[in-house]
Formats: sequence, C-alpha cells, structure tokens
Amino acid sequence: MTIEFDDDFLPEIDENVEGFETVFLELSDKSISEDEINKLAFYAHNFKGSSQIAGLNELAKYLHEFENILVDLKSGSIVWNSSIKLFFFQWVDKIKDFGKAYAKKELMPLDVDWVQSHHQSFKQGTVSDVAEVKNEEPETKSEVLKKEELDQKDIPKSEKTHSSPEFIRTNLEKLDNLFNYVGELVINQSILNNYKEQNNLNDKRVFETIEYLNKIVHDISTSTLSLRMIPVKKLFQKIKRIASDVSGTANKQLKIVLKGDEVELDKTIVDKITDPIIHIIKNAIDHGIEDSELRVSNGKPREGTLIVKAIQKESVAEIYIEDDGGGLNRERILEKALEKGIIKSEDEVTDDQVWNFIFHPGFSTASQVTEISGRGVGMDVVKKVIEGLQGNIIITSDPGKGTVFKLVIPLSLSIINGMIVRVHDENFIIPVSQLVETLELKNFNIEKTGKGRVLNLRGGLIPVISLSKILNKNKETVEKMVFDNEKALVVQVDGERISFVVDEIIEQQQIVVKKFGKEMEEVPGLSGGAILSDGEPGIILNIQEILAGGVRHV
Amino acid sequence: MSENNAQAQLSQDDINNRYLVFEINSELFGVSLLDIKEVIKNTPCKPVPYMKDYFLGIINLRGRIISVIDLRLKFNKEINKEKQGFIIIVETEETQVGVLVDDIVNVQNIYKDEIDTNPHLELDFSKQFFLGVGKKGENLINLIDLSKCITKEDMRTISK
Repeated sequence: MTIEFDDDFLPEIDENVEGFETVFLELSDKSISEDEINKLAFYAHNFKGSSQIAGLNELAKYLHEFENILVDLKSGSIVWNSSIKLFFFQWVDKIKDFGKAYAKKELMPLDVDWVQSHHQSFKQGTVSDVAEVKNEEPETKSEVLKKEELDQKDIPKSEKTHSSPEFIRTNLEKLDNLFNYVGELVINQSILNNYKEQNNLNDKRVFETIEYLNKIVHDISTSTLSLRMIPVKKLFQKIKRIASDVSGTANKQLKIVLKGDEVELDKTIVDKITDPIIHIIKNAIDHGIEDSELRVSNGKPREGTLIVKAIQKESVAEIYIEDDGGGLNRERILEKALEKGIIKSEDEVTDDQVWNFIFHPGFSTASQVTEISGRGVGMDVVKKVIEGLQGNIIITSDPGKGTVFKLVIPLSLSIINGMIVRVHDENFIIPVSQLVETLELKNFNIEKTGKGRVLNLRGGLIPVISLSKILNKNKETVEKMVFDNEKALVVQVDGERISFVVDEIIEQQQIVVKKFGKEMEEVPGLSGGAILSDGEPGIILNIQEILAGGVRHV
Repeated sequence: MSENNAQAQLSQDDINNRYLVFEINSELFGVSLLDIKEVIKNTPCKPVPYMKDYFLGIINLRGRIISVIDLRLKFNKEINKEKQGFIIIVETEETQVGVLVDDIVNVQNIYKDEIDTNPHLELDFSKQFFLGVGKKGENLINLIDLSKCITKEDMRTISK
C-alpha cells in the first residue's frame, strides 16, 4: 500500500469535520430533521469522493458506512435516539484523529466494522442506552490498536519529523479586495513614474496621487491583516461541544448560550486562547455550577446557564465566560492562600485580589480533584498565555450568583493599537489593550502611605508608581507629590488597579509590531519593538509584566 | 574533477581563512568573514531598559530592529571619543546583532599555521570567545568568535 500524502488534503479533512460537527451540535436528542440528514449526506458524499481521489479507500469506506446509516434514518428504518448522536460524535472524532495522523504523514486505520456493527444495532433498536455505547469503547480501541500494528509496516517512517504546514481559510472577498488595492497601487506607481520621466514633479496631480497612494497603502495593510483574521465561530463550536461533554460527565444540567461568534481575531491568537478558554469553561461547569438539587433548594433554576460571548471593541476583543453557579468561595481561597504562604493572616485583601490568587501556580481549592478540571495546574497557565498575548483577565464573582471571567485580548499580534508616552526624554509604546483609563494627575490629591504614594480614584485608593523609576531612569530620590501636566495610566494587575506616571501622552496610533532578536526575547517587560513614524525604533512595554512583579533584578 | 570545480574548492578554502580586521583602542581584532552580514556607519541607538551598560540599544536597519552592543565596553577598553566608529552586523544561527568598534582595518587571509591558539598573554576580556592570535608580519591580531560575545544570558540585568 502506498499513499502519497498531500498537504492539500488537510484542509479538506478540516472543512468536512467542521461541517459534520456543526450539524451534530445542533442535533437534538429526540429527533433528526430531514434537512439535517441531507446536510450530513452532502458532506459525507463529497468527502467520500475526495477521499477516493486521494487514494484513501478506507476513509471512503468509513464514510460510505456512515452514509448507509443516514439512508436508513431518512427512510425511517432507524429511529433516532440520543445514543446515535453520541455515536456520531465518536465517529467524527476518529476522522479528526485520522487527520492529525495524516498531517504527520501517518496513516491511521479506521474501523469500518465498528461503524457497520453500530449500524446494525441501531437498526434493531438494541442500543438505546448511552452507557452501552460507552462500554463498547475500550474494545474498539484495542481493535484499532491491533490493526495499527499490522499496518505499521506499510507506513513510510522516514518523514515522521516533517512539520505540517498551516492553513487558513479565508473569505474570497478579502482576497479580491486585496487584489483590487494592489492593482490600484501599481497604476498609481506608474502615474508617478510618468511624471518623474517628464520631469514634472511639481504638477498638482503628483500630490494628489501621493495622497491617494497613502490611502491605498493603508487599505492594503488593513486588508492584508484581515487575511489572518478568522471568526471565533469555530472556537465557539468547540466550546459548545466540550461544555456539553463536560456537563454530561459531571452530571449537571446546563444550558449553553453563545453570543458574538462573528467576532474576528488573528488566527494565532484564536489558536492560543482556545485551551485557556476551555480550561475556564471546564472549571466553571465542574466547580461553578452547583448540582441541580442544591440549585433548586437555593431558589435557582434547576438548569445552570453558561454564557460565552465575544464583543469586538476598537482594538481588542472581550470574551466573557459567565456562569450562574455558586461563585468563588472567598473563605476557601483565603485559607488556601494562607496555607501556600501567598498572604499572611494579618493581611487585608480585597475580593479582587482574592479571586486572583487562583492564578498562582498549583492553586486549587477544589477539595475533590475531579477528572474534569484536574489538579490546579491550569489557571496559572491560563493567565500566562493571556498576558503573553498582551491581554488581560478580570474576574468578578458574586457569592451565590455566579462568576464572570472577562478576557481582554488584542485583535491581532502584528498590528496593535499603541499609546505612545514620553518618560523623561524617551518615548515608549504601551498597548492600549492593557490600559483601563488615563488620568490627569493635577486633578488628584496624591497622598503618602507607608508603602508609597496613592491617589483616590472613585473612592478606591490606588498606588501611584513612577514609570521612569521602574525603567531605571529616575535617579532622583524625592517623590513628587504635586503634578502639573503629567498623566497617569491605569492598569489592572492581579485584580488591583495601579496607576503609573508618565510625563506626556503623545498619541495613540496603529503600531506594526517587530520582533526583537533572540537576545532580548526573555527580557521581562519588553514585548517587542516598532519603527515609529520618524523612522526611529521604539520599545513596546508589557506593563502588566513590569508591574506584576514579574521583573526581578539579577 | 574539472578545473572549475578545483577553483571553486580553492576559493571555498579562502573564505574560511578570511577575516575582517578591526581596531579597538589601537589593538587589532579579527572575526571570520563568514559570520558577518554587513558593516554600517555608527548611528545613534535607542537605549533599552534592563540591559547591561555595554548594550547600547536598538537601531532600525531597513525596517528590522537590531540590538547593538559596544565591544569596547564589553572588552573593558577605553573609549576614544574621536573615533566615529562602525557597527559590524554579526549573524548567528539565532539572531543578528550589531557590534560597535572603533575602526575597520581590512579583510585578510589568516591561515591556520599563522594562528597561535595558546599564546602566553594576559587577556583583559573573557577567554571564552578568544580563538587565538593571528600573526601577520609585525601585526598581532586577536581572533575572536563574536557570536559567543552576544549570548542572551549575558546582556540583560533582569530575568523573569
């Protein structure tokens, strides 16, 4: 058996798996509509065809058997029930695994008999219990393994280290736009050249053309950027699937509400936030949502609600994960924080600070470690990933009413909205996604406390920190208490608002992020560079990292 | 083997023995030409917080951000303010870094039998990037491996 592995087939697998899953997720437990069957049949048939062309006969058979089930569902000789739905998910998971193996140039065997035997039992109406389907699982797995051993000989091993290329699906309209802009660019370039050859550079139309070119270049940059942007729809589908799996395992009744799946983010960002969001969702279902009995006795609806919504703002996206469960347990977290030595017993801590303790490595308040949300190895990683993207996590929790995780994430890593600020005689760039607000310092009374300066912002005292001091620029020892034109930028770090002083806010602009060389990659607080409009290099600060105490002098 | 091939072989050997010779505080240094991407005139650098003194900052090299270090400070040499200086752009597997020196002297062939890898002399800089002393007539040239001078652990004053 020789198969030519073709990278072009990978998106084909992804698209079809996505197609199947989209339909599966909408399926109810009680009935399947003809329309739904037709959609599935359409995907199965097309995919079967392309599998045959790619020489993947086993995959084609696997799909063919699935088609047979659909035919019987349509004719009514199979009666729909929830165990068929469960089987569908298991069935498509195998294709997913097949795709992953294919990307590594490996051929995973697919068990056609397994599909056939399910088909038969559905027909006889024998398998109606979910548990029964589950019991079959280990058996099929071992079968697959055995087959795998047999087939291994045929698999070319040489190319196993090959890293598969990544693909992005994009709206054709975006590409068309880009083509149009590039066309305009070329035309206007030749117009300019023409004036140059005629030695006629002072013509009024030269200036007009330059103006027009500015617009085109701007359009091209936006348009190029948009090619990397994908809607969070796929992520949301995954969330829905996992949430329904988890609530099933945890035996909790759950309604999942998804909003804003059209919001677009850079593909890399979507890939990176997927695991953290799934982790938060697992936690919310496992630890947040209470058992139905408890909910009813607390006067809540029996069914818990999990809302995941994405909102697009100017330069960031906000993703909210809200549950209507029991809320975070302040006492239990405090107890744990004491135990772990994060705080001392005499420390006074606000709710926001308490919620942020869960981001400490190894922090888990669940008295019972469950299969679902694991052993508290996750939340610190979640935070790290989000902050690595220059984003932010904010927790609000109301005892008895539920918890909200708000993730603020930049739309793109390649172009960010940056605030250019001056500190002494140097300019720095701060991502707007990290900032909560800016303050005119002369409007505030700065007070001195034991730990340093604070100001009163809407009833709360927040620390005032000098950015120049943090950046090792300030040699003065006297701390200024009265300010003239200095501004303060407010950020939220570990649940605490902190303001830091800059001499001037110069402007807010779109910044094309340039990577630093490897030699500066691990310097905390510096997240990259940029070429500013005067051609000088600029430094993008990661304020979160600087202020979170992540910076340690060696 | 055809004549052309033999010639290509020869020039390959030549390249391996070719060194860019530069000057710091009137001392001569040589680096393998293979490690060098280009040489530019000294240009003002944008300072970067949390880096060591000899890390001068970053520059915009045709749209790319490049770190620049002052080799004179790194080697504890006196800085001659009158020298305008040149920045040698060194390319390693991982990165490109600019290295500021007083002056560029020339490009020379230095063959293996002209290099003393174990000379009896006291170095005022770390031995780890010292390759040996090349002897060219009257001149002694300190041959160094610049890629070893620009390790990331070495440049910053802080860590995560």
